[in-house]
Amino acid sequence: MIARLHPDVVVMDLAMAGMSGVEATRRVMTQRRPPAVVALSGSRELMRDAIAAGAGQALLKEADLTELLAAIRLVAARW
Amino acid sequence: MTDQRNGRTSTRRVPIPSGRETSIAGAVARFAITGLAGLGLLTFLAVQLLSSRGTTEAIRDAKALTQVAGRGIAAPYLTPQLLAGQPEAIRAIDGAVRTRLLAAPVVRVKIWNGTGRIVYSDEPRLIGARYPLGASELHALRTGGVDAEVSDLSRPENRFERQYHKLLEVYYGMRAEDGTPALFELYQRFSSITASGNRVFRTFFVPMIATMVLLELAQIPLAVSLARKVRRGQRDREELLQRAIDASEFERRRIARDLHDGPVQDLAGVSYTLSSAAGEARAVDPELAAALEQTSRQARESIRALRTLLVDIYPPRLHSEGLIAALSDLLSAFTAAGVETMLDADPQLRLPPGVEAVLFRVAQESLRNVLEHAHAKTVNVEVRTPEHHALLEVRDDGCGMDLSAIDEEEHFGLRMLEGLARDSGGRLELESVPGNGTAVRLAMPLD
Repeated sequence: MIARLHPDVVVMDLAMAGMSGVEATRRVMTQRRPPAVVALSGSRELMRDAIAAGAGQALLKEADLTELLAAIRLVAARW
Repeated sequence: MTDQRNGRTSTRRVPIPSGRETSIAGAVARFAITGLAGLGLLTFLAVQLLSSRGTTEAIRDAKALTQVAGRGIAAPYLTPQLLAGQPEAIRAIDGAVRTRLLAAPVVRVKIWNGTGRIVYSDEPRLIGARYPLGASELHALRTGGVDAEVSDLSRPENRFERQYHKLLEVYYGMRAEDGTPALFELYQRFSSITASGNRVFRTFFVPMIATMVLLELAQIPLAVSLARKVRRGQRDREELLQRAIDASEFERRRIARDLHDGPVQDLAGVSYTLSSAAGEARAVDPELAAALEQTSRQARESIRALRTLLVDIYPPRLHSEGLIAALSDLLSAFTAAGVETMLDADPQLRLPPGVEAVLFRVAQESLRNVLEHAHAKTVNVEVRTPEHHALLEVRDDGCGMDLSAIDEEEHFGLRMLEGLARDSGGRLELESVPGNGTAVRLAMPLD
């Protein structure tokens, strides 16, 4: 879907069925023009892994919408 | 009006109009200049306001950036291991900070624990050092708040940032994984803050100035129309005034003529008849003759008084021989009363009839005041015509007066002179020192 839509920012849930979000982030980053990734997780360890995999921001899932939007704006501006 | 007491000079001034007629171009130019001055002032205020507003917005954005970066990048690495200074944890956060955070305008990152120890910085020489935290930093640490200030680069913890000259430091109170408080601090170039402020300023400045200039231009036609109306009104008033002066002159001439041809001639006849009757009665009844002679003298006195009044009402020499001759006539009364007089004026001077009339009336009223109130030894009258103006000065060395104590209601003559000068486009000034004389000055425009 990312390859088809070419989004600027992807909000990635790190706890997905089938594939881990960290792995998905790593794969997204292999694309020719990868989007910025904001990762969401309940685990700080997974958040660190996501940042190591290329995520621009990693937020706890309890983050509110304002926080999420601010994170999206920041990664979009810096990507 | 100025008033200086205790023997010092005191003056009473009537504002002088700059000319007899307001020019439309001049009025519109004055309006436009005033408008431009207002525009300039507004622009200055707007620049100050927008600059300040822009900087405030930029600082707010810097705080938001710090909060987002703290939660989205630093928070996952705020572990007990990092707070304990374990190299592995430091390497982990350093990678994230350098790849995700250290880019313009962010130039430095520091994370402090509650005791003032720097647990992480992208400048490794700072890690493990301890510095006292300020009150606002401790407050942010305790409450989880965010605050910003210009960095004090003279402080030892900021010694590695001195190359940047001016930085804004934003600190944000966070919690580590185990709940331990920590202070996340981002340093940004202040030039980026002012640049953001300038962007906000430029966004609003040009449309605002364009709007103001258009508003100013839209008002010019209104100002032209208003100035034309004012000028029309001014001309109407001047015409009315001229008519009133003409009518007054006509009435004066008529009254003078009627007095001269009627009561004065009749009284002269009565006086001659009485003198003749007294001559005839002198041989028969000396007592009756004396009474008739006395009555005849009274009639002659009345004729003299009436002739003086005639000169006052309609000075014939003013019209036939000019202002200086008429002033000379006025001063002759002083010579008779033993007051030394001096008339300083060109004997050949002739001025427009309207101006001569006003100068004469002011001199006449002033000299009457000198004669009745001043107890003066000398009185000087001067008439000059410098630079499109006629100037009259009547100066005496009499008892003077305290202008602050003048009763406006009682000094009708003075008020009348002021009114006459003002209505004729001139300026009247009265200067007096108690015990040291009085000067009345009148300036009349000649153009």
